[in-house]
Amino acid sequence: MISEWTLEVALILLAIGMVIAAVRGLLGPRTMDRAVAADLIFFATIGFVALIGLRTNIEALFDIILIATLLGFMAALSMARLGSGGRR
Amino acid sequence: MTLADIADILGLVFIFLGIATIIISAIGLFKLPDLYLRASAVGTSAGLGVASIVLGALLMDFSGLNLVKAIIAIIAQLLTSAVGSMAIARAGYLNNALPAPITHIDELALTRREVSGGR
Amino acid sequence: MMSWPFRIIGFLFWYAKEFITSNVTVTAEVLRPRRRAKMRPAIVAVPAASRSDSEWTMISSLITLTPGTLTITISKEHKILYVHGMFVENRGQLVAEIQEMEDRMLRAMRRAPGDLTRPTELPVVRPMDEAGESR
Repeated sequence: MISEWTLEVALILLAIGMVIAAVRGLLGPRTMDRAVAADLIFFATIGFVALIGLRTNIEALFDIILIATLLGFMAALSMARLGSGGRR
Repeated sequence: MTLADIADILGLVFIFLGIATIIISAIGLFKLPDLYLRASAVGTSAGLGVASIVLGALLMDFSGLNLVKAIIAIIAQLLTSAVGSMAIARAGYLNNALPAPITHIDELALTRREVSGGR
Repeated sequence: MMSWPFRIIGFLFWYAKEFITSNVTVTAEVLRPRRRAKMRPAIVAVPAASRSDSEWTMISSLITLTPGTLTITISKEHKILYVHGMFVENRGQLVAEIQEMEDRMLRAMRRAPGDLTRPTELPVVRPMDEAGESR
């Protein structure tokens, strides 16, 4: 079927996007630039989970996606707290 | 061609649209000069990118229950990603992340705590 | 003026259109070569008509959700939203854009919108810290 190799291509493209964002995260230069890059990597991870779930036909795919989207902003919030030195 | 095939193809179109958005935001992290512009670029993949990947996954694995879960997931993603971006932008402001010189109006400039410094 | 449920639906459609067009503009800007960039970023203090906490949360989230505009911080006591815009020709254009979105949102959120007039410019103030959080 079409989805056999296209999903693999999609995974590779997503991995490229994650690597680009990771390089920005490594270069910085400031804490908040790294936080923005980490945020993007997290969104790519949601895509990764969705694609791997489709590839392996797991039952709980949408439950995983739902929890990832519900709790994803926690990472951004804690990085923001970290970067601002605890000030809100 | 059955309905399932059409849904599969449409699903792949949405998935690739989402991936393209994520890659373009990643490029934006390098092209754009300051934190606030980068946060705007990441905003495209937080909203459109993730939403269209979830929509694509839904079309490729459709059921009534999945439809409900996907709709809740997309709404949750839109609401929470906005909160996340705002928290990061505000942390940048509290941390005196200055906007790039290309920024032609800056009405927060007078309210920044100290002119230089921060991490 | 339409009745309340129709105003909500109307607002959702208008917002969906704004969401998609702003996504396309920001994506196109990233892909455009640097020497032909149309980017004109600015940070503007926009006077707001929101009153309750839920209205403040909604308007700042909606502004951030459309890529290209980003709420950096708010000052509830002075009724100001500090908005970073990516494509701003002049101050008035961004203020008009944000105030239009707020008008539409308040008409959708409130059963009776009431008086929505506010100035387009307020004197420069220092946004206060949240209670008990001084440095």
